[in-house]
Order: sequence, then C-alpha cells, then structure tokens
Amino acid sequence: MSLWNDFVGQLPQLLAYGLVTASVLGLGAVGWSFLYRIFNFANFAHGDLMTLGAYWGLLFNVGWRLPWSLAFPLAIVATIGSALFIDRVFYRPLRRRGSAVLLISSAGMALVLRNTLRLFWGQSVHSYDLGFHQAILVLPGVRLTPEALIGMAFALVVTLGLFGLLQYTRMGKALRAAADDLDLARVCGMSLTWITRWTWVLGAGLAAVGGIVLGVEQHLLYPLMGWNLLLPIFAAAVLGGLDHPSGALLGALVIGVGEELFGFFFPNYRPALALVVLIGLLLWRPAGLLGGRS
Amino acid sequence: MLNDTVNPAITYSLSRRRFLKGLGLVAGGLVLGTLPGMAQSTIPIGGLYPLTGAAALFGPKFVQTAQLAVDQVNAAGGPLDRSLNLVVKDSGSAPQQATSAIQELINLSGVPAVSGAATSFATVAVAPIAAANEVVLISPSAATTELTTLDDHDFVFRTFPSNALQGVALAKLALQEKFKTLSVIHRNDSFANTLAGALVKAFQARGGTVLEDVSYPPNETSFRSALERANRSNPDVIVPIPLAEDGLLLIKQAFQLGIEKLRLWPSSIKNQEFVDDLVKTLGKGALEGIEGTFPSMPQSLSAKRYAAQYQQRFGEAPTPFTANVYDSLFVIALAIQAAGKATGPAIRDALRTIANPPGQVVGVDEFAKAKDLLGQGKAINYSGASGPVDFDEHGDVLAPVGIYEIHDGKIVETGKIPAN
Repeated sequence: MSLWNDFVGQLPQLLAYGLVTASVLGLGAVGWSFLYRIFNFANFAHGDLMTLGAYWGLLFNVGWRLPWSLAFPLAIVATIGSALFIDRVFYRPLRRRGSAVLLISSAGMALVLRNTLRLFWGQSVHSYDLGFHQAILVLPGVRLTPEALIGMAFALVVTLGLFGLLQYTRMGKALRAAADDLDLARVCGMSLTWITRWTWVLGAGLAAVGGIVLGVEQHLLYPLMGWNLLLPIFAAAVLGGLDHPSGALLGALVIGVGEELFGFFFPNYRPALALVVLIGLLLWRPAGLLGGRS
Repeated sequence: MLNDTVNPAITYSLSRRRFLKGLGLVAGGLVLGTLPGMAQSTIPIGGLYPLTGAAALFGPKFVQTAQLAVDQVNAAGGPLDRSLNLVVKDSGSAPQQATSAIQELINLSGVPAVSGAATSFATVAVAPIAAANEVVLISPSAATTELTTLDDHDFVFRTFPSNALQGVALAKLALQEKFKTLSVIHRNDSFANTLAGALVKAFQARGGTVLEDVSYPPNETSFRSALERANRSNPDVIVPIPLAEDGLLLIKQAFQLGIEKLRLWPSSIKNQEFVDDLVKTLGKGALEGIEGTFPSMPQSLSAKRYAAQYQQRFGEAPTPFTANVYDSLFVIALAIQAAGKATGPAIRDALRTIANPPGQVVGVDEFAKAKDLLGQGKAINYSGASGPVDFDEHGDVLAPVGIYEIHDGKIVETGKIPAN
C-alpha cells in the first residue's frame, strides 16, 4: 500500500489528533495573545507558566492527595496568584522601560520558573494520580482517549467562556477597550492596576488550564513540557492575527491539525511546519488570518 | 608658552600613572603567580555532565559518583602525591552549551582531562575541542558510532561500549523472539540515529525486514502521527529508541493509541524510575515480558565492591552509567600516576598501559595498591566497575551486551549476548 493511500485511510484519525494538539495550543495561544494585546510584549515565560500550572496541580493532586476536582481548580488559583506576584515584583518595575525590556526579562523569568520547578520537584518525570485509559472508538475510524476528549471539551468551554466574558460583560468590554488603546482607556478613568490584575487572571488562568490539560492528556509532567510548546503557540497566535483571541484559536487549529497531517509524512520535521506556515502567511497576509489592520 | 608648562605636568602625571599601573600589574602578577603554585598540590579534572536539558536526570548521579571516585583516589594519597579536584560544568541541552562549558574547563580551570560528556551529541560536539587543546576526553555514556571514526589524535576515549555492539544485539534478540518484520521509531540525535542504523543493518543482514524507520526531532511533544506512520505496515514489533524521558511520552502515547508493539527496548530506557512511572499509569500487565538490551555489567569482585560502596555512601543501588563514570575518573588518576605528570598527552599515552593487559589486575578503590605496583616498576591492568575497561585503538571498550526483561514491574537482567 502506498503511503498516500495509508494517509487517506488514516485521515479522520490524524484530524482528530490535530484537534487534540490544537486544544492545548489554543489554550496557550489565546492567553498569550491576550497578554500581548494589553501589555504589548511577547511573553517568553508563557510556556513555563503552563508548566507551573501543571505542577501546582501535581502538588495538590499527588503531594496533598486531593481529588482532581479540588486539586485542579486550586492549581488554577495558585497559578494566577503566582503570576500576580511575579508581575508585582518583577514586571511592574520594568513596564515603563518598554516592551523590548519586558520581552527579554520574560525570557529570564522562563528560566527562573523552570529551574524553580526543578529545584522542588527534581529532574525526574511525574504524573497525576488519575487512571490511564486507552483510546476508544469515538466515530468510525477515529479513536481517542477519554482524557483527550475531556481536554478538548475543557479547552472549548474555557475559550468560549472567555469570549463570552469579553463580549458581553462590563469587565470584558473594559478589557477590550484597554487592549485597543491603553492610554485612552486610562484617560477614561480605568485604573492600570485593575487592568493589569484582570489581564493576568485571565492570561495565567488559561495558561494553567492549558498546562493541566496537557499533563492529564499526556499522563506525564516534566520541566520542559511548556517550553517545548512555546514556538507553536507563538505561531498560532501570530497566525490568527493579534486583534482578537478567536484568531489565536483559529491559528491553533491550523497549526495543530497541520502538524499532525504533516507529521505522518515527515515526522522529523513536524515542528518546522509551524514556522513554514508562519513565514508563508506573514508574506501573504501580514496582519494574520483574522487581522483587520496590518 | 602655556602649553610648555602644562605638558610636562601631563607627561609627569601620565608616567606616574603608568608607573603605578605597572606596579599594580607586577603586584597582581605576584599574587596570581602564587595561585598556580598553590594549585600545585591539586590537579583539576573536569566533569562535563548534563545538569539541565533532556538528559539532566543523569547529571546529579554522575557528579556524586565522580566525587566518590575522586575522594577514594585522594584518600589513597592521590596521583603523584597530589589530590584531584573535580571541576563540574553543565553540558546543557544543546551542543553549543557543551562546547562553551568545555572551553571554560580547559581555559579557566586548566584541566588536563575531562570525564564526559554524557550524551552522544554533546560528546561529538566537544571532542574536536578537547583534541585541539590536547586534553583527554573520556565519555562514560556516549554510545554513538561517530566517536569510533573521529579524527581525534587519540585524545577521545569512552568507558561505554559503542552502539555498533548494541545494534547487533537488538537485532539478534528480535530474531530470537521470532519477529520477522520490525519498525524503528527513534529520536533524531547521534545516539539514536547510530543505534537505529546499526539495528537496521544487522536485522536486514540476518534476513529480517525493516518496514519503517521513523525519526522524530528532539523536544517532540506529540508522537501520534509518527506512531501511526511506524505502525502503518503492521510490523511484528516496533523498537523505540529515545534518549531518556522522551521515551516515556512515546510509550504512553503508543499505549493510548492501542499500539502495544513497543516491546523491544534499548539501553536508554533501562531505568527503574521510568518503569515505575509507566507501571503507575499503565499497570504491571502492560509491561510484562518486554525485553531489551544494555551494555552488560560484569559480576566481578570489582563491580560488586563498587555497588557496595555506592550503596553505602548514597543509600541506593548504583544508577545507570555511574559505574562507567567511576571508571572514567579512576583511569585518569591511574594514568597521571603512571605518566608521572598531569598533562593531556601524557595521560593519553598512559591510558592503555594502565587499563589493558598485560599487568597485575587492580580494581575499584585500589589506588594505593596500583600506586605501589607502579612504584615498583610493575605493569598494572585496571579492571573496573563497568567491566575490564580495555581500550582498543579507537579508544573504545568492548563489552558483552546484556539482555533484560520487565517482570512484575521490575527490570530483571536475564542473559548475555557475547561481543562478536
């Protein structure tokens, strides 16, 4: 049988794998682009913030032996708390020095976060205290694990919830205004502290959910888990255009599905696809898929 | 006129400054000059191990084992009545980190010999630098076949057998298990590429069919499409060749997809910690009967003494590759003693003399005995924690390859495939 025939036969399965990959990328990319829009800096520590979220979950689920239904919400809260703390002592004094300084410092923060986790949890691998399940037949020709299905459902609910929040609530409108023009929003009486706080609550919260979904879905936690995803997250966010979080979700779908399809033919170059797509798209549509302005 | 009065003053002040600067330099030189004099009592030896990156799991164990060897040598009087000083640098997760680390060891610490690097890619990256600076490099765990043929002016050695041996052993084991077709899924780095290459070649030479040879990039996060690719022609067995913890993700994802054919493992995942983690998620039954190959540990007195001393000092059984780390340090110490000086070329020239036959056999923690024998002008032959440690003309060691099996969630060593 030729490789192409096998590919066509496996297509529904590979598409499903793409959705699984996209769900984690999406959670990361939506949060990342949100932070980017408000603070105007590319957060290199976002992958490691995801790892931090996953490890907080590990502390509560394995260290403290709490059931996951309690451990994971606690982990999200703890990650948001950590992010606010980092912002207060680390980013806030640097904020006025411009986005380049913030960008470089966030790369430093990525190292600090990763190695702090190494300090407490060591180099070795960990996994949550959850059962392991094999893939089940979901649709004809499509097998997925329950963990992957739950992870995808979570990603969908959380991002839809975020969009609802941004679209229909007063707070969401305020944040969107701040994202459009921070100075104007402040002139209109919004406090920077308030904007900062809620931006981190949403951005870090999404990162934590992403990290936990990844840890649950892969049954494995290791210090590099989030950092390894940073590049496709960047690609997804930029690909979708940075104007609206839904663009990041669309970008994640393109990158995630593309990677899995491409990976069947060229497993060794799977991560390169994100870059190729990115370069091509920036040439063709510099503002991104959903971008209005360039 | 004004210039005339000012100029001498400037000249004077400049020359005084220059004088003071010169004085400072001389004084500084004197202080610094005493440092090598003080360092005369200790010999710096490099330890280039991964403390961060994909193989970082091994680094801390390597450091403590190297320190154990150095402490034992020093307690026995040290080579040339000086003591060894272990200088550890992180080889990191990428070749460029390893190369800057070894340059620090050579240029700042002035080491004549380095134990390391641990991974194949890092060792291949630093070997030319060691050779160019005439510094001996002994890797305790790099298995790539690239080291055998490297143009290294004989400065590069290893205490770990080459992949060429393990590849043949894996192929033999596959045929022994009546597997007629196999696929390989391996990491794209010099360890896994050369092991996969040796396996494919040996399996085909013995009549087996290799259906897919799939490689994945380092830092891969999803193996699903690569696994579907490896499994597409329905092979009898799929051999995973990861570097370390990437193997866990690979094996777990295979089980998630219902691909339960990853039943022949190489040495890189012969790690009880990994098996414990897999048992925790997959259960014992899923792993029962999985077989693998590894460079075999001898059951010699030396090896047992090493295991006992390691256990006593660190409260755990020796972890993978540490016996090879111990030996790499120990042969450096013996070579310095035999050569009579601690320089790279002298150590290189003495290594085969002290490690290979003929000569009276000395083993683990027998530095004092070796020193006596060398003092009497007798030849010695070090037989260490990891094996006889006899270097061939490429600086490689020959070792039988062992077979292990996972039984009841534990790694059990079941047999041996002799070398050649």
